[in-house]
Amino acid sequence: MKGLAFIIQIIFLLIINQIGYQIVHFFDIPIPGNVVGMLILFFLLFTKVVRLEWIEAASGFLLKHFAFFFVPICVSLIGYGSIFLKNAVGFTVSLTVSLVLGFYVTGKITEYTAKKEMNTDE
Amino acid sequence: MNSSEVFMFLFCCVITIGAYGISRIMMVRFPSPLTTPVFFSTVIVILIMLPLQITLEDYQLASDVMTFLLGPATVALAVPLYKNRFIIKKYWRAAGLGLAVGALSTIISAVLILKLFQVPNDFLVAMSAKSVTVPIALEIIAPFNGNAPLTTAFIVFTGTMGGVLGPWMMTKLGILNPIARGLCLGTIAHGQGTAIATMEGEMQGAVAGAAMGVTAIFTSFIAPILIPLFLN
Repeated sequence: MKGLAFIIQIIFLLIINQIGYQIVHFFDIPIPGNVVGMLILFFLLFTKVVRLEWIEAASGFLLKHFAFFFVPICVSLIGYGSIFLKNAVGFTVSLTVSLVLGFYVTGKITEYTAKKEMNTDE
Repeated sequence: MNSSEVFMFLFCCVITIGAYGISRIMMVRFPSPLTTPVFFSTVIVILIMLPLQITLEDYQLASDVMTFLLGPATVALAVPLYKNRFIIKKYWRAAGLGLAVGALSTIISAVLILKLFQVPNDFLVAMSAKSVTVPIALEIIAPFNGNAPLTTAFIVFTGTMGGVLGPWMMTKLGILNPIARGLCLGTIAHGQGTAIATMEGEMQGAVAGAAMGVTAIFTSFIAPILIPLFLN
């Protein structure tokens, strides 16, 4: 019975995902279909049309093993060795600088705004 | 499908799932950037494929079947977003501003720096989605013919470096507020950053999980406007 419920939950998530892609396709909007699917599920949960318990088993399993799905995608990097060697400096500088800058800007702005809001609350 | 194709399909599935299973044990026993599941499993699978001369073409069917559930998994990201809705509601102004400006600055700096090295356009597109969780990033770059394997590599690199160096870096930069720390990890280092944030504390983990989802949504709205400006 538990297994059946799990499969039904997966099918439900698959259908929501499909609806997301159909909406994007139909209205020709430049937003990923899976993002629209995610927003639909959030809306359904928020309005209590869908209860968290109904999908918790499948969503918990899929999110726990989220990283697994990237392995086949990363395997297709086979044969990219020369591209990485050729662009090693560019890739490394770009990724490192943007990483540090991203942390700095995100953190400082959030801290500053949060502090200011707290002061106005008082 | 003939029997050797069936065998190849099963073999590719077994080595991938097996490598992932081993990586989950390794991650717990020897925690290090080298034992994160994606990096560790990918290296094992490639090290098996190369000497056996298994090509990407041979691997394709297994890959398609194994990633079939990535769509519903992405939809399931709505669950942590929903669970953290009260935190989002409480901190939306400070967190939203930090997230938006932070995500923009990391994207723009990454692409502009890479542009200095005169790389092809599909590399620049790949770089623009480097702070977004993989399945959504792949959809963002698809209309612009971005290089999918390359974007995945950039994302995994960003997540690994952000997760490993992030907490130390934030302390050095004087970012000490737990909400700001969680927000940084989720916004810049997506899922891997969120995993680290969860270890720092419940608040950090919750904020990071929400930030990762919101960053993916935010980037998917702005990238279609931003990407054409970057290209030659």
